[in-house]
Amino acid sequence: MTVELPAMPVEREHPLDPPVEYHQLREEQPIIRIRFPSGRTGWLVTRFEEGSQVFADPRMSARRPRHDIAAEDGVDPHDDGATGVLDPGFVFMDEPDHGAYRRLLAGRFTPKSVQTRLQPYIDRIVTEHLDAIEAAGKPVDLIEHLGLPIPCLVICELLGVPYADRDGFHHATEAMMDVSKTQAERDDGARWLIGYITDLVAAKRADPSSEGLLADLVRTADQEDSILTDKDLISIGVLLLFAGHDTTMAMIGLSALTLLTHPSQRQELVDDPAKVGPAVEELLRYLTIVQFGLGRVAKEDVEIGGQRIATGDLVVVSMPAANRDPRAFDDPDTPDFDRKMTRHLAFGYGVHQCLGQNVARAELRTILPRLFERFPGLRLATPLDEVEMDTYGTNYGVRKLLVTW
Amino acid sequence: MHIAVEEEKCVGAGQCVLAAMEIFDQRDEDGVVVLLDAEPPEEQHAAARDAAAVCPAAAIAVRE
Repeated sequence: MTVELPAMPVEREHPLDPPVEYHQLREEQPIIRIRFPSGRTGWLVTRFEEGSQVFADPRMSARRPRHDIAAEDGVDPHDDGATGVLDPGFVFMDEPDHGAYRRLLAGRFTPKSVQTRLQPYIDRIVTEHLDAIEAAGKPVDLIEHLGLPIPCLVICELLGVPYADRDGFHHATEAMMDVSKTQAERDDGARWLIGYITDLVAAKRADPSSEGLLADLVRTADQEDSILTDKDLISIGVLLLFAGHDTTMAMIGLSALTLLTHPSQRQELVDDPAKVGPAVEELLRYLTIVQFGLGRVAKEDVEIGGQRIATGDLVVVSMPAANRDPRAFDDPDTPDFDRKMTRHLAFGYGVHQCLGQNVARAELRTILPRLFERFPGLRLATPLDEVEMDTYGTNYGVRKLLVTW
Repeated sequence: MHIAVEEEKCVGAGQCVLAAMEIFDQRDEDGVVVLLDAEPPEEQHAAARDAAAVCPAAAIAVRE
């Protein structure tokens, strides 16, 4: 007899909250056998401690099937590629291989490196974009004029990618990340990015004076004993380009929307600029954009929260649910900038924790206070329920955020 | 308090530096943790505990 398993909750009732079904799951069935959108079955983890354990456990492999996209023609998208034709590279590797690649990049993403190499640039472009918003006149779409361009400019600066190519790489990323599109459409997006980075790697190689992280990686790859192949270079370049702008764009839009709809928190941020650090951490926790969670596969039998997980089982941690776990956070559904919080799962946890997190923090910490200082009367130009959300992206976000002042 | 770090576990996320910059730094070339003070003064103990707790790779051990 086949028992129909419950499906992973995906529909939201409120634009800033995860699906309401997570409340009940977290309380009653924190580790539940479930059917994912891909059709594959596995475990869904909705509590904070158990979710952290899954990410921290070296017996849980990052080499996993895609769980968040629908099967087509009954075919389970079970390949190990995060994005179909794209080689997911070190994101899907375990130790020690993953660490060997990560260390080639990590020096450019430390708080110190971001502070010295990127912060002055971020300061300048944020000021320029706020000036342009003021000049453009109201209403303005904050995504088009701030949320999208700032992360694109920053990742272009960091990688050494021409900003003039932003429309191409942004649209390709959107196609690749959209779970409502077909695999063929997602693959088209991935192929565009692969082709683009392939050409860019060749251009960097041809010009020894070229600057940026991608050029540095090409030089590393060209050393005799390097582990980096051209395939690795392309996979890493594509990853940094799409993950470097899509994620932060989502957080900028959602953070602005949160502050626009929470006047007292907004006032706290404007009154006390020193609060921006805790405020950004709280917004990361509260909003947790990786809406379908992240998967791992058990390499041996393990026990998580009293539940036996068999070798080969897929385990998905819902970080949006775990970051609203009342066991870990008091009054979790309210953004509280005075919250005493040691850590959250917005960037994941374990050795794969987001490489670009300090870049994202720098952008958010710069943009949010300045936006509300510059426009004290900033408000939504449409009712909240008419704000167009990006419901189908791997990263949940705001598609269009019309504001006036 | 005594702090020990395992360099080979470190993934360079920089969480320890954000939590306790008097105690931890990172190498410029690969982001790997540099322990500045293995026996920090008492007023930094809370930050040291936070750093160990936030390390995503469990590369920091605090003995008290």
